[in-house]
Amino acid sequence: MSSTKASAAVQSVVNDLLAELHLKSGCDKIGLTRESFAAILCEVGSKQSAEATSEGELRAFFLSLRVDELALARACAAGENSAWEIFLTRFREKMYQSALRIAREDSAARELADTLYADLYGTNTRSGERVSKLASYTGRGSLEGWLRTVLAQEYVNRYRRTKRLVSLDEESEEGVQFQAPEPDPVPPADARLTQVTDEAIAQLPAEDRTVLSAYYLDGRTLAEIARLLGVHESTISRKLDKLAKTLRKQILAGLVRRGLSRRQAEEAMEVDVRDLQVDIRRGLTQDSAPPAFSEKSVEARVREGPG
Amino acid sequence: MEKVPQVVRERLKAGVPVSTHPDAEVLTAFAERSLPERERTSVLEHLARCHDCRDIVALALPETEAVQTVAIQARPRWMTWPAFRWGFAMAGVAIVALGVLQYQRRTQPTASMVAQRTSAPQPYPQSPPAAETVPAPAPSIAKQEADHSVVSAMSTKRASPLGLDREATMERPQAASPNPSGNARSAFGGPVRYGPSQPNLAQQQQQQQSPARVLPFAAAPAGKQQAGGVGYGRGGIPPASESVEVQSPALTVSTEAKITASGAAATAPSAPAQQLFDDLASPAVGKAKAPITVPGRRLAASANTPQPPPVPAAPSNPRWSISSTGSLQRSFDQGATWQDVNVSSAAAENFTAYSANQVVVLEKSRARQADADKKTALKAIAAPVFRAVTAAGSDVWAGGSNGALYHSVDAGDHWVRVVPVSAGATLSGDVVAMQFSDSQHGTVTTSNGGVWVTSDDGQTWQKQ
Repeated sequence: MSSTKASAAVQSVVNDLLAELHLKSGCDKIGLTRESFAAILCEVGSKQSAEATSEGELRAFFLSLRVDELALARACAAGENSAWEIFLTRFREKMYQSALRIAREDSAARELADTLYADLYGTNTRSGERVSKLASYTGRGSLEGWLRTVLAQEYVNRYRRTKRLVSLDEESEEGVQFQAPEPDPVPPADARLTQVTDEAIAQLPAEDRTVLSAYYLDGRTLAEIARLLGVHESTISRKLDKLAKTLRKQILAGLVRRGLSRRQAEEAMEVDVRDLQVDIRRGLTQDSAPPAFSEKSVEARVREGPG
Repeated sequence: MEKVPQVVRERLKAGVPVSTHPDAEVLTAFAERSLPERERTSVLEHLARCHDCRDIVALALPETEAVQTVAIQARPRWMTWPAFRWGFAMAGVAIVALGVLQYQRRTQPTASMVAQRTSAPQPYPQSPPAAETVPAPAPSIAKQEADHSVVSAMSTKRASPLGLDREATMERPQAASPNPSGNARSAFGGPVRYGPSQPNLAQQQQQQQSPARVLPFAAAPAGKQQAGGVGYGRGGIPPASESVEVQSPALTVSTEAKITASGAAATAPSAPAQQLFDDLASPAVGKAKAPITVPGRRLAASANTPQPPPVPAAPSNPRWSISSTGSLQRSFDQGATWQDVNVSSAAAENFTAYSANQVVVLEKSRARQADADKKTALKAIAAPVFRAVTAAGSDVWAGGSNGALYHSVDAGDHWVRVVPVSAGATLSGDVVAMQFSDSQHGTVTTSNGGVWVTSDDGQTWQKQ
């Protein structure tokens, strides 16, 4: 069975590296036994490895883990008080600060941080087992970063939920139809344009598409996108410029290939631009849609509203 | 900047619905740039279509250096300032009062005074008294006035050789004396009976003979009590009492000064106070200088012109930046002024001194790498053009052209050149970005696409 093969491979690598990793982890100080630590490593390794993962890759993976933070997190998840003390000293304040940066408002930040803290501390299930979110930390990223990510996830989930509710309310309040009227039958040019555009976009590497989405759909600044991807701001600016040119060129070429004259193709793009302005918000088939309203107005609403 | 056609935006939105969102682990590793290439691409695939996850990653990013909110220890100037003044005022008062007391006690070596003080008498070297002195009447407790006048008579004769060069030193104590005498009383609490008489005495003295004041100051620390020998031809008790008195007020003074000084939490006030203590505690030492006056003057001067205390115990961490020409800069005043930081000379020193430790190696023998890295280091000894700097407290990393990567643990005073090596490959290209999520874990990105990760504060590195 592939899974047993994989886990056997993981096991052997873990055994190999256990001494070194155990030393790095400092489990002894936080009440984690060597055996439990080895078991944790195996679990983490199994999640990571596929059948095709070579031993070298596994070794590199284990060596790149932050075993000290992993040990701390797991010890906390198991309820070790000494581990919790360390965790509190190191992270409680940072958690609150990160929450503040995310929620941008004091009471919301506190609530966010406290909720997460409760999740981390764990609750007892009916069967008496302690379930803590920290058990899902695997040491791939820093614990601090992981905490920030989890905070952000919580925030986004909550925020999106309330926002969707809000937008519905607002719709009925203001009597505005957000559902655009049934479109006129799409002229063939549009279909071709759509197709060609899809193709052009699909050809782009994932990073380029992410940059485009972040810039045009999320409205992020160049600096934010640059930070997201770990590059310089000017790189993003240049990339966007180049993409705009390339896409335009490719769409035109594609339309021409499909039988339009160059002039027609250009017109198709222009015309489409004007038309699309109206139903840009409509028919969002993305799994999660960008905000319908500016964040500020919605935020104000969220604060005033229930909860 | 040219915009993409609108249709592109439309179609971007209309992507294939995303399946499962990557979990927090993966997103964190992505944000910290420690994902292997394959996984990074697949996360990007998801991010290209998932607005929520893009938001999450953006929110979860650590703060940049530009908005570094390092909690700089606010120098409690407002707090130390009045305490500082108080410390000095008290110390100044103490000094003057002590001087006056000294002056007085020398004329009244009594058994009662001895009884008051219980500390062991210090050896009190007496110069041959008889030869130099004017015969003095038997001092008694009650005859303060007489004694003082006697002493002043004595001192007049005696002090003339000293008077000239001591004249200047008298001004300060005189200025300070009228006020503090009342305070001195409260400060010391001890020789109460001298308290009220002090001001009158002092003023009388000063009116009569200006050099009179010289005596106490010259006498107290100076072991050679030539004048001191005067009233004490008898020897025995007087020296003991005198030395005893010197000591206890000294102790009191120093304690007072020390307490207030430590309350001020500044090094400056304690220095003169310490000196005072040292001086007073060693009257036997033949210091010819006038230590009391000097610190007194210094302290009094300081009391009048308040200066902020010097660098507090804990240096605040500077902000870091890179100038437009690529030089590394730091600011200790939240960006008001910037100083260039030179890494090369310091690094060169460090490198040659600690070459073996500095080399960062993964799975290679250090000896072998040391040579290779020395060469690299020598190549880059000329000041590098920096492109990225990151700091967490006083732990600073700076990277720039030609693989220049420098690390400092003392906020930029000393630097160590770090050359990441992993599986035979050395970091090359320009360092364009660095991210250190904490003091141990960090990622360095280079211009040729290399991503180097460390989890032990730069001791070992792994190339992604």
